[in-house]
Amino acid sequence: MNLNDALPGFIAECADLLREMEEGLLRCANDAPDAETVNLIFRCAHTVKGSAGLFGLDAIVSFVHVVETVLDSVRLERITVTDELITLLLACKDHIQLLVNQVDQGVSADPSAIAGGEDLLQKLRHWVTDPHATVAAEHTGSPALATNIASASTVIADWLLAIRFSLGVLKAGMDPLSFLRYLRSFCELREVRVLQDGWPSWDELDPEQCYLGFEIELRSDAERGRITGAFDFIKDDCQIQLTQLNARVAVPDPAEGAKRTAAAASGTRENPKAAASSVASRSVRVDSEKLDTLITRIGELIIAAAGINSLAHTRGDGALEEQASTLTSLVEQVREGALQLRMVRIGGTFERFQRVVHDVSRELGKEINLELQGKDTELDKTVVEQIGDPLTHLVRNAIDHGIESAEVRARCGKPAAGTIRLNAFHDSGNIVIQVSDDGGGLRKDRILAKARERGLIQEDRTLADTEIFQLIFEPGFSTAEQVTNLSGRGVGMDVVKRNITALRGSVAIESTEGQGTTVTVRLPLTLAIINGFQIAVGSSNFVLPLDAVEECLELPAQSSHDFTELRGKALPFVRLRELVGNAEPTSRRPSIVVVRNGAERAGIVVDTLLGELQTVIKPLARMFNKVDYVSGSTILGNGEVALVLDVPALLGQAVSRGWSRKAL
Amino acid sequence: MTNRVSTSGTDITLYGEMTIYHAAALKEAIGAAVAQIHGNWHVHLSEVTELDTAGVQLLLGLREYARQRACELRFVQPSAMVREVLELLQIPSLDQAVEGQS
Repeated sequence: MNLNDALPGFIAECADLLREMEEGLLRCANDAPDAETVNLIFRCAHTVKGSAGLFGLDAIVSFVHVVETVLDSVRLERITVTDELITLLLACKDHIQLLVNQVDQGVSADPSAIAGGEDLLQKLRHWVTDPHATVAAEHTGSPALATNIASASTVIADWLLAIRFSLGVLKAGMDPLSFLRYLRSFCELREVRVLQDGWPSWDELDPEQCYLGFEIELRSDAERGRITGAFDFIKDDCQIQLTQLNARVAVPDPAEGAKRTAAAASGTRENPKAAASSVASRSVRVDSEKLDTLITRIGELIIAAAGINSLAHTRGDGALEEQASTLTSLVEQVREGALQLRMVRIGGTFERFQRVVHDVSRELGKEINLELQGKDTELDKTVVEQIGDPLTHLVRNAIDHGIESAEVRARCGKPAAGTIRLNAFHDSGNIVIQVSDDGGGLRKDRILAKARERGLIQEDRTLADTEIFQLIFEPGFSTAEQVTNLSGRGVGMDVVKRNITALRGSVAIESTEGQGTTVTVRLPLTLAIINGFQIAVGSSNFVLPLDAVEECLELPAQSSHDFTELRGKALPFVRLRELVGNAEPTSRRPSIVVVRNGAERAGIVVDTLLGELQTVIKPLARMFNKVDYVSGSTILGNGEVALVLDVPALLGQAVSRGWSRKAL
Repeated sequence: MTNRVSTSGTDITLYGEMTIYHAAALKEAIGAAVAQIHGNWHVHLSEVTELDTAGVQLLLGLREYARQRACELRFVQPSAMVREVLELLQIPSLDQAVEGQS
């Protein structure tokens, strides 16, 4: 019976609302603000304030209140939306998020945050009280906005609100009185009747249950959605009936007014919100920890099922084997389903870059368009969470170094506004995320000069384009002539690469001088469970991710060099036996497993091919960090341990060996 | 637990928070207090520091109880907190008058 139980819900709700608010603000920044968007932003702030009030979070309420006042003025067309105002409101949104985070972490506001808040409040007050702003609005407001807002704000209606609560509402930590207080903040409560019918006698009255109901006559200029919205927080615990009694229009023209009343009464205005809430109610919020536990259990289940499978096989019991294979296929479906639960659209992450681009482009005085593609591409939640920072870095880099200044662009005959494109798609068990810009591209000569200067490469060595571009991922490498606030200090690209590698991913760059750069990040779809292909060298077992495996071949008898021919093309390979230093004798003829990562192909020479299996990847202890061709370990059905091979790393080795042999 | 209800003659004084957290204990104490009183009930609300829905419900329940027992019930000196809630709910008076006695 504690409000604290509801707090996580509040935090999550705020995060959603603030994100919506940010999207709305950015939409206003890009296009002319329309009434609907302004209303949406206002509603977000308003709901945050209302919910915060329920929890007695006064710091948030008082701050959001000022923001709301400004937004209300925007809504009523008293002030015009300028770039400056949007930037200020975005900063306010960040500050609210900060306050909410502090509640989440249970810490009190630190002095710098308080000072930041005060500073923002100062600026906000300036907007509300600035008389010039009012004058400006009269001249510049768009007519569409004006009429919409007018019809929304000038209809004053009387409503009859009947509300009944469930018996358990008090025990759930809710106090219906607080909702009335909140309602009073924007409605005139003309008459309140406490419904006392059907009450139990004193002896039977359980004081912890709620028997009360209210009938309230209220007068307000608020829309239906806003009034019922006041009870959103307990909508599962109450029944609301809202009837419009009459409507009056506070404008002199009665004919016009009647039309507006009709529009307001028909409720067309609240449709977007209704649609949004119906989407929300179809999904369930689940603690990600629960999900992780489920996935771990399913991992164990997979191992157990594999154990039964191999047992059935060795026993030679046909019936048992049949049952075991049914079990395996069911477990496989469960696994698919569970992993699907963890999949989220990358769109949410992409949308965040609207803000990054907005901020950075203003800071640098560049005009930038952001194009998003493949927003519906799904990937594992953990991957999404961890890819945000590296992507932000890449986008900032692209804006700062990639896109040229407007003058330079004009001289090159490019449009003044630069374009940053984010793209995501699936490719052979990986998700590919591309960050492209139509800027100046990487200058190979500068990179080479810098690399030689730093002693990263030998003076006389010639490198392929891709190798040159990879140099910018070296620690401390930067070719920017001027170090800006954002980037150019050579800290970053190496960190980006390290973060991506830590996710078992890879990063590649394509660039054409004068035309732009594309950075391609390739990541595994999920980190936890993979379909594997089991192989062995001597008695040691290894697992390759099945998605990376293309085909298996026999190793030609007389191959002493490290590449062979595959359909007319050279195929470099590594001998796993040499790599792991296995000296057990073998009588078998070795096989080659052809693996692929992006456009690169290579072979891995192994003793035995053991076939497909599902496997759970367990991370290796830190002490094995140096073993760069292994990405984890797994337990096989028979209880033995197998190492999971890191295909990109192996490919790198195979290709570089191939090169060095050729160079000899 | 601190004393939430005290009686002296026909006067009952309620103390502290009348909220869901104490509702069960309060109801018992109020019930015990009124059982000792023969005649009219005077309930002092000056010491009530907090009143939520559960508290309001107890007061309204008590009124019903008085009506049922044909007792006169008067609420005396509501504290600012109580007045605020009664105002919000637009309850002009909680008193239960018995016909002919008022």
